[in-house]
Amino acid sequence: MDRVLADFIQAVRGAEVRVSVAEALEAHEVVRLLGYGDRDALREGLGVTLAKTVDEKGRFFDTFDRYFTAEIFADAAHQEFLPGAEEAPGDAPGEDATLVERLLAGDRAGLMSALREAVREVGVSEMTLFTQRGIVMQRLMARMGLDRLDQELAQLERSGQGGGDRARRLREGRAYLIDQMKTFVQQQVALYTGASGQALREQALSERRLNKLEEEDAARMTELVQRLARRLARVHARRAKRAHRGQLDVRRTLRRNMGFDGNLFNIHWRRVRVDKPRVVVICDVSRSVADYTRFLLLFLHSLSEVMDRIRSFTFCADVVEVTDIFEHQPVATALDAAQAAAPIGPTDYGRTLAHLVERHLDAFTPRTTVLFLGDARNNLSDPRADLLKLIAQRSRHLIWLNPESFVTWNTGDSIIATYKPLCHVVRECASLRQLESAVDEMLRLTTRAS
Amino acid sequence: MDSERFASVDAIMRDFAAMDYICSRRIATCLFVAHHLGRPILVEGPAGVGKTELAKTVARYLEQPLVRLQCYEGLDESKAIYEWKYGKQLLYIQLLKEKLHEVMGDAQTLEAATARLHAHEDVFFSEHFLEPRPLLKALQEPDGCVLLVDEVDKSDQEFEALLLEILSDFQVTVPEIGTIVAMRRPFVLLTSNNTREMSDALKRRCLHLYIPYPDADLERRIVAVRVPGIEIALRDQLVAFIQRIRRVDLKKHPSVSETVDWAKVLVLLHANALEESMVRETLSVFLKFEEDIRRVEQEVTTLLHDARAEMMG
Repeated sequence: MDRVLADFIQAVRGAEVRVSVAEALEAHEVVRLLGYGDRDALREGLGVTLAKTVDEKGRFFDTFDRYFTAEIFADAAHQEFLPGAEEAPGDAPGEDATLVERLLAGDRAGLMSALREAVREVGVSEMTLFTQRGIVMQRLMARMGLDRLDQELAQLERSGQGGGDRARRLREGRAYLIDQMKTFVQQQVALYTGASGQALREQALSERRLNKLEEEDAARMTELVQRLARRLARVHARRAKRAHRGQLDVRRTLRRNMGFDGNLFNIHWRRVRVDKPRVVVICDVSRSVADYTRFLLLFLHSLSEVMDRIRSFTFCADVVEVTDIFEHQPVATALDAAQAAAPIGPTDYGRTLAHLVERHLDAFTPRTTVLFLGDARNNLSDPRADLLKLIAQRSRHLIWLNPESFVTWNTGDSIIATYKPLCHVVRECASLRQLESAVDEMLRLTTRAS
Repeated sequence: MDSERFASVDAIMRDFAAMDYICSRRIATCLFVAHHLGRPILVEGPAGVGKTELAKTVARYLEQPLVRLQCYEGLDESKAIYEWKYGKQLLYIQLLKEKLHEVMGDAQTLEAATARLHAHEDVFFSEHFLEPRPLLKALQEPDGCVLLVDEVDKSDQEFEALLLEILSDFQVTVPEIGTIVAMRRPFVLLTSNNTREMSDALKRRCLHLYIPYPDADLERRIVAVRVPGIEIALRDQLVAFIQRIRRVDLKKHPSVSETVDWAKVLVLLHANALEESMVRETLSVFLKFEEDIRRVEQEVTTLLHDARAEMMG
């Protein structure tokens, strides 16, 4: 397979575009069809073959633009290469000429192809971390035969010809070559390690506690959360309908075949319609959980974009419904609006529960999953566990996600112990990873056939 | 003959333009690659950017029939691939009763009768009794055809799996008969409005073409071709205005088909230039939600001003 293309595909994969082997082969055919001559055509042609979503297309074209301007493939930029190239144009050294011979002869093309060869053998495209830059440089130098060049130079020095023309040209050539190699390796680093570095970073982010996030991480976190919400919604949307193969639906089969004189031509199998989750989320936005709230709300917003039938409430001193805000406002304003909507004051779980039962009892049905997000720190007021019990009884599931670390539960004014026996699931939820697994479990519970 | 068609990307752009379909370089390249590699194309993009139209134009270009399968929730193989002609089977059984009697008549035992029946049983499950639905029909076209699987995102996950065999090998398997291979490979296009993500398996078998809203230049050319009577000044203003509106946060942005509709309406009203009052009166042509109309109505003056400024700049 064409090495240029293979490396390019490697780079594209690095940019988190999924390319299967079949697609890689197809890309090869596209290249054969379109050739490397027409850059635009190749760009579009490979674009339709390799990148299969809108997101991927963006990343693909970025990579394409960076890769196919990478210097090694364009000869135009090497015009001024090697001082003295004009002086000895005629007799180009043969295939196996040494570096010294090439430098002396000013054989630009030969050098470039040697460098290309070296790059190939050193495996620059397999680099995954930018910290590997040094070692790659060293390997590249060794492969190019720089040690021999250095020996030659040392010899010239010793024999007193250090100032001679030959030595000067070798030194200049050497400097130029190293410069070229550096730029090239730098480009390769940007090309191949950018994305996997990013993946590492994202992995670290998803395990960090949500309240420990830096400002600069927030943007990436937003993206992560949205991606997570989309993925969860997609995975679980599939469960919506499932055929029970092998179980005959006698009633339907008979009715369907009445037209055929009762002969059973058209057999109907039993099907189970699996419920889409109906979710009610109640989110604490008080100061004690302020660090987490933003992400929980963000997650909620992303989720309500991809799933129907989510009702959202926020509370602090009292509870307020924010479903409309989430449905109609973009993230930027919705989060603040949802947070601001809840009446300020000391958190009161008892009052919140009372008002939920009073005003929104219709939201809790045997098909609803209730998701409570809060630290259960009630400022010593009445927990009204009886009301939570009522909600739990009316709903299918009651899941409590506590952003506090497990060890601090039940210390001070925390009443999680009072609520815990009433909930079906109580989980610590302080990092994105925990949030994901909690929501995944919730969706699994809710979409199970009833 | 086919070698003339799809000869080069530029040729495709030229020929499609001659058929009143202005396609971008991306679309032309995609068609070129699809034709030469024999791959299906999955076309995604917002509603009304000409996805279905593209398929129709390809069919006209190839001078082949267009076989269209409209997808919806609950679509299954009996409606998409094939169905047995039950009525005909029954009728034949009735008509052939006598014959059956003859064949079976002298069989002494039940076993013998069954054995004899076995020798004939395939009669009723042959291609004569097979009702081809769009997908099978597409494979049976002797001169090839363009197969359009429209709005494939509306179908169920299971249906996607049914498509895979057709997309990768251009064949379908009917359990009673065997595998039916395409007489001539159809040119396959699938369209999706992205209401749900298509599975990786399906995407892997297709080229993926995303058609976004066109840029101003492309849209001007499209309007010029679709609404030949329009004045150049009006056309440019109208396109600039629509382009501006697409950047307003709306429930549904106007797409190319709506631009064209609006242009037709304005030509009908003998407009020479985009006037504010006329814009207000005709908003409902290209905005399909009450909320959007109200929203744009409030801002018509500034939007028009912006659009004009952009045209100048």
